[in-house]
Amino acid sequence: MLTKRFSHIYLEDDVRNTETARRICAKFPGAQQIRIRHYKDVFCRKRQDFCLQKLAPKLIIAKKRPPLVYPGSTNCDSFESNHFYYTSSMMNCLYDCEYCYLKGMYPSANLVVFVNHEEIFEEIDRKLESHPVYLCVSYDTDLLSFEAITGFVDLWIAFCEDRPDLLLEIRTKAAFIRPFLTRPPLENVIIAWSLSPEYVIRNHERGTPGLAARLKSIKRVMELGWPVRICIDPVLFIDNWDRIYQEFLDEVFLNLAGDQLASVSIGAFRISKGYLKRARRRYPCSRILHYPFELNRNGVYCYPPFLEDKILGDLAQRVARFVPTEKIRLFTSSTP
Amino acid sequence: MIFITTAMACEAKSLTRPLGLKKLKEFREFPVYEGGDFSLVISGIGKTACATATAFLLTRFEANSSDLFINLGLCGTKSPHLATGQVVIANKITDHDSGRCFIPDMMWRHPFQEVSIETFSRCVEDGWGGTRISATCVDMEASGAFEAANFFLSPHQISIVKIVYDHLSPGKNDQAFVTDFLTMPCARISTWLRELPSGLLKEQEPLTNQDHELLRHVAREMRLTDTMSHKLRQLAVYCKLSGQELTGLLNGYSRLSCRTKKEGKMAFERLKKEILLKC
Repeated sequence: MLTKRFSHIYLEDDVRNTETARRICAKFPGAQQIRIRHYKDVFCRKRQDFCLQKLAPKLIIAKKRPPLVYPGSTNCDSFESNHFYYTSSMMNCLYDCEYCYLKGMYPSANLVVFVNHEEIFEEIDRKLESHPVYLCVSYDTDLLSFEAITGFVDLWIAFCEDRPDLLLEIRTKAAFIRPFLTRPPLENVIIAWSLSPEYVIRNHERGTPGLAARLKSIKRVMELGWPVRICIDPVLFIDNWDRIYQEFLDEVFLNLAGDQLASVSIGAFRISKGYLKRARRRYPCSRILHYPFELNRNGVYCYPPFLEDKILGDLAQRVARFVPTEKIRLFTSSTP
Repeated sequence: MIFITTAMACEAKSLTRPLGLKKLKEFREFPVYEGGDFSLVISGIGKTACATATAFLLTRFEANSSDLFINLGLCGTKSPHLATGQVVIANKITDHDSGRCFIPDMMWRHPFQEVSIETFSRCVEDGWGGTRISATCVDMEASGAFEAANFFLSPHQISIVKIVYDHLSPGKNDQAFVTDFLTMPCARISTWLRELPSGLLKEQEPLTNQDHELLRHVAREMRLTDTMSHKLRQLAVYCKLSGQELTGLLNGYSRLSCRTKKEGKMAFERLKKEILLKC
């Protein structure tokens, strides 16, 4: 009885006639188009059912208003950059990962696509005039998973071509790699692939490609010369985690040459207080979300320190068998 | 439960028959009909009357997250592409007076044409006061129905379904004519209503009332603070989601009668360790 995914497209008046909006709409020929004044008229309605929307999300095409670029979150690794930023060309994600902080971040599960990327580009150029920039473009979404619809990753790569001071991170769980096949590799574009054991993918990452598909894509782009970072983040404390993560690492490094990776980032599950509260209310039966986490002094819920240390320590040790230690980065909930 | 509001008795009649609804005698404020999974109220014309009747119906019948709400009635249109008697469903409602927009969450499949609807406080006829009509259809209740229903229900639970009656030209207002006119469209709507999920499924809370009672008792026995009681509830949820038997685990702690808060705190830490070890 539910409508199909993207059966409805909500178009902001300010951008409905732009070329990008038209191009995206053309990908959904059967969808109902509804004009709106501001994306929040739809996205921020009261009493929305997030879980139901996740089953049949709608698309909102909007204009990103300032701020266009944000300082990077302290819950994320800045890789020692003093100028760590992120920007959102999209809000929400096509995938449905049980543990994702997006489950508690937004009032709606509908996808918002901001089509005024030129203005974001201009903002980055202004920042580049005064200092180098480390920019994450796939936070609060998975840009590559929606690439066939938006083409945004391709635009970002083209933007990076003549801007060596811009270091771009594209984080993804997707297996879609077309944008990397059609251009020569760039040193300043890091593709950060989130990997999880197949058991976690099947049970807790609904809609994402399997581990084998992700590894195949990673292998291909590495062969082409693109810098790749592996993100084992978040590591989940699940039954038999020891065995499951060992088998996972064996499979990953059977397929990938560890010494050729740009880096491996390992982080334990962590989520801010407000997001966890809302996510637990929305998903009362998620065992992962209902773990009795401890609140640290930064207002972040995480595994108890002894458990977090054990999980990350064990995993780092095992990764070190395949990857030079200087390329391994641990991100704990207490990392400043 | 599916709750329905209509403005006029002649509109309601076309639904009460096919759905087999019977009038309830206990309500004086509005005529209310009920049968099976359906409850219907006749609000009277206009958005204020409709909002009041909607709030009345949803309160008296204790609407919850598993219910649906439909505002059903006549509308006019300027569009030559819509024929009289055609059933339409609103994907956007604009209140003409305030300019506010209401957007239902279009989660349910339906066989009707989707339109935007603008709600006016007066009957709209072609050339009426030179007022600009921004939507495809016009009516007198939709914005009131939506705004009131949204206090109780989520936007995916609210549907505004209308039948095109005229093209903003004065038409017949004879009640018998309207009832007759609505027979066919309402038969289509009834079929759709019967296909709608009458009880939306939600994930069940893992703790039962009995569990909550036991947890309150244990918290009293252990002299736990509010914060610790909350932590205890969280541990209990995790315990149940891990497939562990909660009652057996807590039984040992239900007769502790801790004399001091410190004693209770120590017992709580023991219990926490025990739960984490088992789960």
